[in-house]
Amino acid sequence: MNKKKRDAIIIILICNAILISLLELIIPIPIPVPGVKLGLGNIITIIAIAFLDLKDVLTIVLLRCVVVAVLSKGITVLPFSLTGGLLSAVIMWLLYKYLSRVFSIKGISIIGAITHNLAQLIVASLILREIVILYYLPILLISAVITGLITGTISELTVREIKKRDIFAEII
Amino acid sequence: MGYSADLKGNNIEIDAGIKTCLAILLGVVSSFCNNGLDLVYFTLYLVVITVLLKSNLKFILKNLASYGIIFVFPYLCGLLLSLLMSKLFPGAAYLNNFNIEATLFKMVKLFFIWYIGSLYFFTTPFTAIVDMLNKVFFPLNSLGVPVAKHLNMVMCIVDELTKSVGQFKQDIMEQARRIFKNKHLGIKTKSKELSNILVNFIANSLQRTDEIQNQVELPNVSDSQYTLRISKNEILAILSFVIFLMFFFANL
Repeated sequence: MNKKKRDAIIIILICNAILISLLELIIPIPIPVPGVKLGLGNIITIIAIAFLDLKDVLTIVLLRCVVVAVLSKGITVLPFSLTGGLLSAVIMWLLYKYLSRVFSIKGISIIGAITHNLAQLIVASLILREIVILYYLPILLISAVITGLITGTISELTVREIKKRDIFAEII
Repeated sequence: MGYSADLKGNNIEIDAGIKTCLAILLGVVSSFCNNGLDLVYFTLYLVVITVLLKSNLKFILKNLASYGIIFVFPYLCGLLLSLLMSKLFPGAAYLNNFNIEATLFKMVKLFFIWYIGSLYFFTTPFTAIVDMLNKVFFPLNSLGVPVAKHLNMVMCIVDELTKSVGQFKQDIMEQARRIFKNKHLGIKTKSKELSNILVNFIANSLQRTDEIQNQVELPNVSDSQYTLRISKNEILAILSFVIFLMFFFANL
C-alpha cells in the first residue's frame, strides 16, 4: 500500500472515530457519573489495531486527539487525552498481537479503558500536584470495566464482520 | 461541534501568531499569581479580553462546567473517599497536611490556563492556526519531522467532518436511535444491530479512499500563506497586555 493511500485510510478512520462518538448522545450510559463517556470512538482504534500496524494506530490516536481537542474542548485537555489514548493504544496493540489467545477483544478493550482512565488520573494528579485525586480511582476503574465491556462487545462484532467481508483487503 | 469556523464580522481579528504569543505569555504569567489580589487582576483582565473578543457569558459558563467535570469533580470525589477511608481505617497515612486554601489556589490558576486555551481556539479561525503552525514549524520538515504532512491531514479531516456530519446525523444516528428506542430488543441484539450499522458505515467510507488520497496529495498547507500582520488590533492587544503586566507585577 503506498503512503498516500495509507494516509487517506487514516484520515477516513479518524473522521469515522469522531463521528461515531456522536452516537454517545443516543446510547444511554449505565454509569451516572459526570465526565464518564462510553468511548465509542475507540471502536475505530481497535479496528485499526486489528488491520493496520502500530505506527498507523498511534497516528490515528494522535491526530484524533488533536482534532477533537481543537474542535470541541480546548487544547488544555490534550495532555490527558494524548497520554491516555497513546498508552492504551500501545497496551491494546501488544495484547492483540501477542496475547490474543488469552484475551478476547472484549478483554483487550476493558484493559485499554482501564489504562486510559488510569493514565488520565495520573496526569491530573501530576498537574494538580495532589495525591487526593487518585482516590477517585475506584470509580474510574468500575466505569472503565463497564464502558470497556460495552465498547469491546461492539468492537468484537464489528471486527469479525469486517474480516468476514474482507473490507480492508479490498482497499489495501 | 463547537467549532470556531466562521468568525468574520463577529470578532476582533488579531494576527494568529501574535495571539498565540500573548496566550502563551498570559498562561505563564498565571503561574506568578501568589495571592488573592493577583487572582482578581488576572480575572479582570480575562473578563476584559473575553468582552473585547466578543465571547459571552455562555462561553465562560461552558468552560467552568467542563473544567468542573474534568478536574473539580474527580478531586472532590477523591477527597471524600480519602476522608471516608481515614474514618474507616484510622492511623493510616491519609491526607497529611491537607490545605484547602492552597488547593483552591492551584485549581483557580489551572482554570486560568484552561480558559485562556479555550478562548484562544474559540476566537481564532482554524485555518489561521494551521497556516501559522505550518510557517513556524516549516524548518522541522527538512529534519524529517512531517509537520506539513500532518497539518495537511488535520485540514483534510476537518474538511471531511464538515462535509459528512450532516449526512451522518441524518442516516446513521437516526438508524441507531431507532434501534435503541426499541424496548423489545435486548442488549445483545442492539449491539449486533449497531455493529452492522458501523460496518456498513466504515465500508462505505473506505470506498472514498481514492478521492481522499487526491485531496491529501494537493498542496494544501505546504506553501503557507501566513505572514505576520501588525495593525491597530494587534497594537491594542499588545498594549493592553503590557498595561496588565504593569499592574500585575507592581503588586508583587
